Amino acid sequence: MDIRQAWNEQDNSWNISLSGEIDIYNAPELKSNILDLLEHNKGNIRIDCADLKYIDSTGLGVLISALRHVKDYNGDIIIRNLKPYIRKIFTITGLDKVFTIEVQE
Amino acid sequence: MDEINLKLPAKPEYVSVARLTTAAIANRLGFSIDDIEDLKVAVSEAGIYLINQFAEISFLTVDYRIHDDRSITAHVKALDGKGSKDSMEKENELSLFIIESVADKVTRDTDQGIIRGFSIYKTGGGSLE
Repeated sequence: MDIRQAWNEQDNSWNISLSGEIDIYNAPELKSNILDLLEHNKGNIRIDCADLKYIDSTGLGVLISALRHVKDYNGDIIIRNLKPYIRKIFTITGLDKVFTIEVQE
Repeated sequence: MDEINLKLPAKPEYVSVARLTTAAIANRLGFSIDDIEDLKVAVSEAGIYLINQFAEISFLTVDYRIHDDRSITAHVKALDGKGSKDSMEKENELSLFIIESVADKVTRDTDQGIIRGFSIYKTGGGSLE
């Protein structure tokens, strides 16, 4: 798993790029990383998943937990560029209704 | 019927080994990419569930049975799980939901109401190349 992040002053949001596999082993690292970001700046989170190959329930749990944090200050998490199979996991778990999923045309 | 047996330390860092093994076996049987992903996800979530379920657990086993029609049953079991981690209930519900959704058939091996394993059945095999 690789996490890259940048604060976008213009739209008050964190741009995060996730790549590789997020699973029960490295999900805690993602969680602490996101919480650190939110301590620095409270804004929306835009997550680019173009290079994300796999995410398990533990990784999804981290995203749900992050969403709870950003909802506390009326923020949002926007997820984009999901690969079809990962999109399927979001759909079957109903998380496509919980997160804002941006679909590329 | 061929059989492949895997025994892993029940630690988060080894769940990826079960994933890779599952994908390799399903790929060998000619499963489509989506069916490979389904089986890989189901086996992985079963392992995660069992690791999260027990306060103490040393090993997971994954026994793959390859049927003559090229379907697979993966039996994922906690060898020696003791105690429970109540804090992981919500995560475990998500795992169960995913397993049930992506497998063709799932049987839970329960003992006194506690899930100690899963039998995950998936079709999708074509002809051997």
